[in-house]
Amino acid sequence: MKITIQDIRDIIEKAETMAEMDELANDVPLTEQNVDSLDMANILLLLEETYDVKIPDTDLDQLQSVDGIVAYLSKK
Amino acid sequence: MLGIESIATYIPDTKKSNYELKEKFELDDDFIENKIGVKYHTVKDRGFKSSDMCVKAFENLQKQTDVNIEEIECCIVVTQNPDFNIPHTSAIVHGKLDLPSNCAAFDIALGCSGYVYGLSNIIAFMKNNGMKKGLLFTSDQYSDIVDINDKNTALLFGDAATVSLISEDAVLSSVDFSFGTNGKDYKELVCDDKLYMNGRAVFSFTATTAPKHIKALLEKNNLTDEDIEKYYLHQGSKYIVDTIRKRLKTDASKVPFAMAEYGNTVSSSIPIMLADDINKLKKDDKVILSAFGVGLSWASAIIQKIK
Repeated sequence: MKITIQDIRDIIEKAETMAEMDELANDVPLTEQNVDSLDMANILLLLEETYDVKIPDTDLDQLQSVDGIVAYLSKK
Repeated sequence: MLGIESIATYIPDTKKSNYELKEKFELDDDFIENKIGVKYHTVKDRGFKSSDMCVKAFENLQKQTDVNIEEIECCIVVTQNPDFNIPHTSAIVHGKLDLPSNCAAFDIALGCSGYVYGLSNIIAFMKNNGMKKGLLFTSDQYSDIVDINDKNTALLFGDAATVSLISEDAVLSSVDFSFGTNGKDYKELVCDDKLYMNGRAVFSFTATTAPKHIKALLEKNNLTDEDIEKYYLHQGSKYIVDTIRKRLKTDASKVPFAMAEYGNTVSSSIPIMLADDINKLKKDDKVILSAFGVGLSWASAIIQKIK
């Protein structure tokens, strides 16, 4: 699956989190950038719906940052 | 026509502040107020059981209507926290209220979707048996089963009970109901001694299921968002109510949010809101009731103000 960093940033923006998109670092865990647990649940749902994938709880440690999400989905 | 004549509630006076739990769970005010949306959650008196809360709700019903106990022919209690495993809590409520011996009494063991299921059940049961007046209770005291160290649940749930008087002198009548179940995922929200909730799984289930379910019910009845005055959604959390509203693409003014002062009251959340609005709705207004949760179970209804 071909996924870009911008694709993932667009999804995070769509989730309407408290993160400042202009300042959001791609290599830092989202939960350290004003994305709380409810926002993460919403982002994961939007990823599942957008890319028609199932993300099990056991894989969540691979999806902590924008870079991590891109790498994870690119393998799908 | 059988429907809801009146609704009364019992919301305990004792409340626990979530602001006092900020340090313990590393929270900020924004998370409390705008994400879970629960500032305080209600806690029943120690030793109070489900039937005691039902009795309190009924006492409040007596203050607002001239309900005659001798005329009650049906008593249903929706609860997943019964007084005992045996007997059914509705029998205990029957005894405490001194209801007549010809009054049917049974429980419905459902959680968040319980009021909508209960409403359909009591109307159908009374209609099928020629009954004129019945009582539909909702009552759950999650304070007995919540793990106070579990961030996912300790901040969220509040104790409460409601009673709906069902009669032919109804002001709200049902138009249509729809139900659903996904039993394969029951472990995502389960109580085996203490309550466990997989927050992500429950959020995903609700955000994907509830909007589709409501839209399908509207389409089945040839209705659109414009025909609906209010959407009374189960108050799971502010985040989930907001998410469903956004996915329904409906105006925020149509979707009441009413859990900040007492929390997620499970099957009581919808009748608590309806009790507040029953006199504010205008004749012919149609509203949606939609609830989702433990089971996993969901139910939606179209209800109309008829006078």
